[in-house]
Amino acid sequence: MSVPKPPPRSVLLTTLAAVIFSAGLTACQKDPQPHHYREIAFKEKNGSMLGEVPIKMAWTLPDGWVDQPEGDPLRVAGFLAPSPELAHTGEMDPQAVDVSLVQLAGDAGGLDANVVRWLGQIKIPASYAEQAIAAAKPIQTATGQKGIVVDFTDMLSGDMTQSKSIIGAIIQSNGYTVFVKAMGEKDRLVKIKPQLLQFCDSLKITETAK
Amino acid sequence: MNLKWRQKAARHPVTKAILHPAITLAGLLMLLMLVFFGTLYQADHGLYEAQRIFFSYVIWVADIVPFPGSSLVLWVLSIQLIVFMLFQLPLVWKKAGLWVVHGGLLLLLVGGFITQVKAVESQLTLAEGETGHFTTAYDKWEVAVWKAHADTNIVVSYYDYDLTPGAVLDLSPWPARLTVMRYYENAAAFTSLVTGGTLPYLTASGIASIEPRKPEKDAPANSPGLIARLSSGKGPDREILLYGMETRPLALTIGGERMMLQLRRRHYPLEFSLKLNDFVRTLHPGTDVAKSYESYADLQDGLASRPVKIWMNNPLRYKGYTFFQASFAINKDGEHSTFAVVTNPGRLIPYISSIMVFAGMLLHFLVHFYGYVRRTARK
Repeated sequence: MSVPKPPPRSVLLTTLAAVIFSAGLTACQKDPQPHHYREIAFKEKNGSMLGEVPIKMAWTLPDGWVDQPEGDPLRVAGFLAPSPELAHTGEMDPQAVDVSLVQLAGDAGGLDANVVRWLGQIKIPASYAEQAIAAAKPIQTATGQKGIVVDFTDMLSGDMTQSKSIIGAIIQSNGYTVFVKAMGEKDRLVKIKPQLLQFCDSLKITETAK
Repeated sequence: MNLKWRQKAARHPVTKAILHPAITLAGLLMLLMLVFFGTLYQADHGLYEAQRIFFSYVIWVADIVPFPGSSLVLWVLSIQLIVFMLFQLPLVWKKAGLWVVHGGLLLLLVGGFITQVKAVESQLTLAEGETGHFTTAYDKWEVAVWKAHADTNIVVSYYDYDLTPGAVLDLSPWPARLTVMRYYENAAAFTSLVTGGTLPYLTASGIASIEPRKPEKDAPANSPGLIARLSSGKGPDREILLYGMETRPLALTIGGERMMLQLRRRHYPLEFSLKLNDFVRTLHPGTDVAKSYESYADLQDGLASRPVKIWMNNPLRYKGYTFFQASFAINKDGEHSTFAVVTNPGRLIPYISSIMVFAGMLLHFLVHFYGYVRRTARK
């Protein structure tokens, strides 16, 4: 009967060295190390020079929408609109759509200019503005102001990395314009569109002075 | 010339074991496999996750079988190379070329190590007219505590790798400490609907609870969550919840001072500042296809300021930082330009080592060619 040969000394030594090396690497656990630094906060830009808008607004928030109390000073209000499936679970949707409500004096540059501006934000050529306006659906607020809803979700961006899109409502009336803009991932926008329209319909716009 | 101690060391069993050709062969084969399977893994799991797994020391195949990761294999090959150069590579002029080649290889490994440990990738997004003083990480996080002081924030931060349960984070100079209770690399957040209307933790945005989620394929898409106990020596301890998606910091009074706490992508302060003056996107005539993206900025360092232009494939290099034109955005605030910012002390090492390997091979060839010519001439 043959006796198995012991492993060569060199193999044992190599194995031992490898074990010590690995143990050394894993034993290098240190206490948490603080990092100290000073940073200059970004400088705020000058406030907008927009005129006073003589209106007050109220609305009914769709299910699951979360108010964002602080944010852009231009916004009257901002909301996060989660996927409707998550609305009753309480889970915060990391891909929630950002909905902003903005009011500006006058015609705010006009319908065409604002649609072109929104298209630019999602890198769709300005030449599609006419098509988007032609396909826009009419809406009416709870207090009777009329507007349109433009939906860019079926338009292809010139930048293939651009997965976001916009559905926006523009309501123009006596000396003011109200924008409701929802910007987020295309599939999320499609899901929340009925709620967005419901939100636009619920808007109560009261003119306070002429 | 060959020193006696080198000859003795070269014959030692440990040296022989380390320099066993099977180790070199196995190491090179493993690297080949790691590159191959790492590339396949990247397709399904994303670049960041592939780098994290395949550049570790040990990879657990199917969570059971250990397999050496790139870091371990490269360490073993580096040690083998050093031992070979120390004890076995002949110290003779005829082998000078081989010394240069092996020196170049060693430098390449050292460069790789420096890059792995020291290189930092981050980004800086500026609106026109805005000045940037720090860059922001893509997928690395910190819990930052700061006190607003005029327009300068004095910050104490701890990086995400220190946020292990039970870790105590000293917030000095402020008399407080944070004890990590839970930290999730990726988490989902819930409103008070799930806790019956109560908010068990102090939070910046009314989040009631968090739960761990599987890390995203694309690491920058992760949103971590932290639950910690804040002790300040005065009054009872407070439990706080910080979530990566929060845009606002949690404001608290610590030791009589108003402090801010936030779980955010790491900030890297710059030694200078960059002010974006203008972002220009040029289109090909008659089309909407971009021809070029150019950022015109002022580089401000102390009292000195100079105009710089950063455009595609023409980065700005300054004080070890490289600013690449990465992307842009246009919104109601105007045009924004985003720069990918890289600092890598080992940036030039691969070039130097490649030159060394080439020069070494050339030298080795010339030495042997000279010998051949002499031998031929004698005949």
